[in-house]
Amino acid sequence: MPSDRRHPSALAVFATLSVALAAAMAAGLAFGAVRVPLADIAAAIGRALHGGNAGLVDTLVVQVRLPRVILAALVGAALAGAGTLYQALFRNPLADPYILGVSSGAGLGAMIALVLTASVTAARYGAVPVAAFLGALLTMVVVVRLAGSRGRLDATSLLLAGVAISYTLAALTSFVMVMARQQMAAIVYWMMGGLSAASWGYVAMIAPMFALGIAVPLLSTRELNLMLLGDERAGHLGLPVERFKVLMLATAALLTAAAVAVAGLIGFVGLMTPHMVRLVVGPDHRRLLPASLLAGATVLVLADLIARVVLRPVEIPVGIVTALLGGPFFVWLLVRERGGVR
Amino acid sequence: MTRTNGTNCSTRTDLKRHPRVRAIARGVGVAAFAALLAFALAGCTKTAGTSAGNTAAPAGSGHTFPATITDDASNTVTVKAAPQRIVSLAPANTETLFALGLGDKVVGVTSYDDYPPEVAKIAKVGDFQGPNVEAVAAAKPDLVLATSGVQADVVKKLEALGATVVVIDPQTLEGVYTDIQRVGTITGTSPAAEGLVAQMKAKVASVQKAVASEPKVSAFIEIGQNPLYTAGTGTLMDELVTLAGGTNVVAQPGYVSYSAEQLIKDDPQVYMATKGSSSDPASIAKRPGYDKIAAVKDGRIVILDDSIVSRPGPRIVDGLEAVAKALHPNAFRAATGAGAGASGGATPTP
Amino acid sequence: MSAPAETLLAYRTADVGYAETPVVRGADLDVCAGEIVGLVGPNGAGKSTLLRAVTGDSRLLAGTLAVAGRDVRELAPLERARLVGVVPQQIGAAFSLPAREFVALGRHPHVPRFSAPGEHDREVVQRAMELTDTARLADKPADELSGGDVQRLALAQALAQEPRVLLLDEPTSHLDLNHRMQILDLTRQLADEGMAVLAVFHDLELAGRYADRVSVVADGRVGEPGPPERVITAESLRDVFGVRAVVGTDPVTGSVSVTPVVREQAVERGTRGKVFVVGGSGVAAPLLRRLVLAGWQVSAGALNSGDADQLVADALRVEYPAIPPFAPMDAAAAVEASRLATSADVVVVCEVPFGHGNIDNLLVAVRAKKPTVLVGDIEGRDFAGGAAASYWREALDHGALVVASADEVDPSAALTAAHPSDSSPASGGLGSGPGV
Repeated sequence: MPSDRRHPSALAVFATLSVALAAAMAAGLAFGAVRVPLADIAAAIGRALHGGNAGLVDTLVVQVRLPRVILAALVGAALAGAGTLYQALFRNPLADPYILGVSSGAGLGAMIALVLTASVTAARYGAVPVAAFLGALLTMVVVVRLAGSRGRLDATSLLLAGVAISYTLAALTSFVMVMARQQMAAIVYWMMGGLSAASWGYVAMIAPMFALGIAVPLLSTRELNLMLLGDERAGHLGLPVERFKVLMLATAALLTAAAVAVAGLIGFVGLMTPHMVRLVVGPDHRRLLPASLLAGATVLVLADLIARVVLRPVEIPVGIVTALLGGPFFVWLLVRERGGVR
Repeated sequence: MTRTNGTNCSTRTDLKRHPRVRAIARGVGVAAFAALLAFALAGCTKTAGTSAGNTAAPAGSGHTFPATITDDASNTVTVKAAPQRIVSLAPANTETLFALGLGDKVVGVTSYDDYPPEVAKIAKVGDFQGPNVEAVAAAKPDLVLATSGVQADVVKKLEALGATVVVIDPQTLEGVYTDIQRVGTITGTSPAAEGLVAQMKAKVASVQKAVASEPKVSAFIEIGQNPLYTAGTGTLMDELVTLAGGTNVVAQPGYVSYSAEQLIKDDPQVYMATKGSSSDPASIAKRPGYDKIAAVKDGRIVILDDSIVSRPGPRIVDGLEAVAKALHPNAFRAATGAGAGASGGATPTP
Repeated sequence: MSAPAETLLAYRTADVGYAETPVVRGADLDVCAGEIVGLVGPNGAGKSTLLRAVTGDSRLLAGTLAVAGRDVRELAPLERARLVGVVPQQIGAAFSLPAREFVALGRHPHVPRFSAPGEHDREVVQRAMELTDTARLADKPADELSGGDVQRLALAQALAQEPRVLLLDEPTSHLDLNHRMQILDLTRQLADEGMAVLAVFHDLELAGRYADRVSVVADGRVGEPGPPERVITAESLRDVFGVRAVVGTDPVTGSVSVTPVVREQAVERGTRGKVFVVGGSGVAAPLLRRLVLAGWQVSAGALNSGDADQLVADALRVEYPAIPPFAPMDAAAAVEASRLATSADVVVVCEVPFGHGNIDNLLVAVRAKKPTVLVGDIEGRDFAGGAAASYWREALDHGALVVASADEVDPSAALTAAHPSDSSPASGGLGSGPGV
């Protein structure tokens, strides 16, 4: 019985996701620990654009909520983008942005920064993101070097190297934690991931890296499709496979590092978003990648909204929300997919 | 044990299965169990929680032994004789012991303890993971002052070592007084304890007097940044704020994470942060949206020393003073004597 | 035959392999536009390795390899993809791309970076799918198709590259009869239109039928390519594959036909004795085979060239006097046959008709006075004017065993019956031998 599984048209998908993202961001602005009427929000943004500021509400919306919502969108998109790239490179839908030890590297960097700024907590705001970013990138370099020592970067070598480095770095981080007990709470919270430190400064920090990090893959969607055929076949069709893999890994690392630097380790988004999107949109990266970016942004904006609002004014870690939302949704999607046309 | 039998194979006799060995093992086990039981019974009698924690020990009973108290875990504890080797599993308890003149009897402290300076020389038997039972055993204590955070099985082990375990974990100022008195009772230093409590109460009274005529000031206490963590209602710090003539803007109970938006809306007049969380007022002021907060606008960001505002021990009253100074600086500039500088008798000056 | 065809693939003293040790040494091979060159040889000989040197999946350790005149090491991947299309043995079609999208990936080397595929690209893809009979699968997800469909899709994808060289690695292994023919006919057509095709074949007859030239790859060497009938011979099959086969010309296709008879390894070494078999016209072939397999050293009476038994006898290295097709036995043949019969231990006469041309076979068999096994009955087989019947009776009188069919021929039984050395009582001549 031939399958007549049809994927929705690209137009429908992008339109829906764009609307969803816009709606999510609007909701993220409209709701928060403090109730602000929608009209006031619009007015506040309007005033901000014209250079005015009428006080508390404006500050709240423009200095606190707006950068947070934008940061959530950027981080969500970055994680989903990185996840999509890893899944293409490893041809494995279970690959996530932290798969190559990047999270451990970022964690160690952040931990060291926290320790070094223990008495100068003012410096933490800038030091921790930079250190986390550097930690993530350096880890990626080490892992790729380790894996590629035999000339080819194959999935298994990368994964093994990633696991090895990951465990080593995690152990080092724990060791530093033991030595510097005072910062332990801080690093644990950092590792749970959160957007509470969101500011325009952080947005400015991540935006250029995000732009670069998604420009490259968006221009390489055809090549990403070729990778679906396997390294050898992709090579037959003209792709310089090893070079391409390194480029994509670097890009994914950049995206992950940027996300982790400003938001800590938010799990789940990078793994589940591309997979869920693929179930709806199909494996063609010309649609999958942009759709993942939009979906990732939407998911994280919504998750952060929930994290901020559900127990207001108490905030819960956003990673918990992403896990609680994403898991069951994914299960539902899988069940629906299996039980459908076959 | 290897034996060769006639067919040239060697067989190792399995000791465990040897009937004679099993009998001996059984005997040893019974004896060990009996000894353990004896120790447990001899050490103390634990009964399930009956009365609530806050009964005050008889005042001025001084050197009366055996002494019985009910600790903060609702356990009734009897101490037969004045303890000679005391282990403290919390910095506050250590300070209490020293304040009661028992410094030379303290044989084990945690790695967090830092006051008075003498504790640096004492063996460290506990860290962030809890008491190290082996280290505690090495100290051979007869009294252990624990907190409610110590796990029940660890308590059992400590008792098995022959120590009396007392849970000292006050949640309120009254509780601090009560616990100091209890420690006095079971260590035979009740007079000192009473004196200390009296000094502390006096200090509190003077602080309250200083701020009595001041209007109440709204305040926020940061105990953690990124995410922002605060002390809500029902916490000791919240009580200090109230006693110091302030109002905690946080209405949620306990130690909770707090939304920056809500903070801005709450607009506290004074912003306090413990040093372990933030040590630099300037960086606090720079946080997004904080420029709208009254405390920031008026430059009233105060960094507090964790060790006096967070520890439920003798120096908590110094913490109260620090909070009061933060909330009502004018009241203390004007005041002379009781408030500024004097830190009370038995507490050695750092 | 106008201008000489362009050499599109040229191996010159090439060593290819994967690590430091070459799998194939000193390969010299050309593939020209318009021809199909087939590579045959045992497993692991390096045929695929040779192919993969073009795409860089195996290493060129020494020598040169040129594609359309350009050194393969200097070709950028995209340039190479515009010249060379590959159809591997297995395609792992991961994920669920629709078939058309799958084939369209083959246009990658032709579509510039910032452009989308255009009308021409779509046409090429459409044509490729029509040629491979996959157009009707266009919208199906590639991971839902059968192995054979995927194989044809892989070919379509390669054709979408509009290559000048096509590398096929055992391309028909998963295909049914119909599709196998289709693909190979298509390959032939493409070659005729100017494609240079280098293909690995495991099926020798397919190689013989479709390849213009065949090269045997074995023992790390690439044999001189030549027309299939010259390269695929009984000798080369014995040397390269260790198989004794009958190699001939298929009457329908006119191309090489290979009938494997027996594996060298299956033949028991050491002889149990010698058997002389009288046969012809294909009657004796199964018996010859069985006896050789069982370890008997077999010789035969005179056989005409081209006779089915003769071909099998050749393959089995059975000694026999050869006579021209349809010719009667001459004196020399008779003498030779007699020599072979008398030096044998057992003589078997198969169920072959006897005429004047081959009556001498029966005569020498009977006169050899050896333990004899006669198959069937002489009734209806005597076309020699009664001579056959009389020799037959003579054999019977001398104690020959009679069995109903060639399957029942048991030379050991015949020996035992003739020389009862053990316990069995001397039964004289006519004991019916037990079936084998």
